[in-house]
Amino acid sequence: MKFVYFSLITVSLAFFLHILFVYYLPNVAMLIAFHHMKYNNKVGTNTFFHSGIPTPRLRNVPKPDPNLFYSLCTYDVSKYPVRFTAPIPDTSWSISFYARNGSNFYATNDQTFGSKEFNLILTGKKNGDRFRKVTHKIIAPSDKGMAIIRSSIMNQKDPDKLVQLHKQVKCTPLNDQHV
Amino acid sequence: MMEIMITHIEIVFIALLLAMASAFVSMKYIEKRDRTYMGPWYIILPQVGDEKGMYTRTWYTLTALFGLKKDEQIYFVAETDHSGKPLISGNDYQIKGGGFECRWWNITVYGQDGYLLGNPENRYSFSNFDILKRNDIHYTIHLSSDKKDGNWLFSGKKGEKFSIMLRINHPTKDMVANPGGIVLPLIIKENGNA
Repeated sequence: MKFVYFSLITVSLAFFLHILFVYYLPNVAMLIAFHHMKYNNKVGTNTFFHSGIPTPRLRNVPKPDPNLFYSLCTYDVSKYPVRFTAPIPDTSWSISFYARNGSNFYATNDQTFGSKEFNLILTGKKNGDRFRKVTHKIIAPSDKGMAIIRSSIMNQKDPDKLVQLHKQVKCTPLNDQHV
Repeated sequence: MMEIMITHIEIVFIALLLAMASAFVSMKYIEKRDRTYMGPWYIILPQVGDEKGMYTRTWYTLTALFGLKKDEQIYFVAETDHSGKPLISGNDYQIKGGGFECRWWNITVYGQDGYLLGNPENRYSFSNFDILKRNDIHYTIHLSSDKKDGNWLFSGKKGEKFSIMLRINHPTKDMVANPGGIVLPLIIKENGNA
């Protein structure tokens, strides 16, 4: 009887832990990415880090595309919304937003955005009602996550110019003065 | 008292082991279920944005962190040649194929750790913009440890496994709807005993 009792407790606990593991593993992977940004790249939240064109030594993104220039930003919309601005170059360009659990909840590119200047406000669920009149506004499913901009360097006559353009990207927290 | 404490520690320890083992097994199951093979190439279905359910999302995040949505990119991975044997550096391989109906595509080689392989040429991939073609259509990429003429990609130190990724960027709607219909390049072992 005692054996059955302990077995039931063990299996129940194992089931609970299994669900916890599977559910939170993506969050752990993202935490490692945040940690890498903060301590290896020495970049805080709401600041873009220009990872550049991947080489065997640059390891910010797994299985990187060596034909893309990457810029990454750990966003934090827990206190204030964040405005993302970027000039869109004449090449294949995209921006993707990833939630704390790694899901890609918003993505657009140079062909779908409809303007040569990317301008978007990302808000948290708490401050989602602000900026109602703004055209490009999305509510992030989690307060913290990652935004990644990718620009293709292929077929570029002047890659340095593209890199300079790419470095103009910004993510700016909009505090009460901006509202 | 001591006996009860030891029993509780044992329960927690066994439960932890069971939880980790079952999580690993379920991830392996999802991997097998969602990989669709087309010759040596496999595609992960569903692609980013389609993942439904806790298990698929977890497996996808762990294997393709920061992946792109399928309307932006479809990608195929090869870890074997056309005979089904693992791609091992030290052997010479040829990738033979044609182009794709898309904005741009590229073929990249990765080491066992999933990162680019350092080489004196600093070349890690070929794309439709820089690959040498015959008749403006067909191409051959040589994969080997030693430099070759033409389209050559370094495959790593001898004896190590490597993988190839084909990225089709901004594919057509038909390709997105039916990636199984895409004609993929052949990966043929030329020579070597690695």
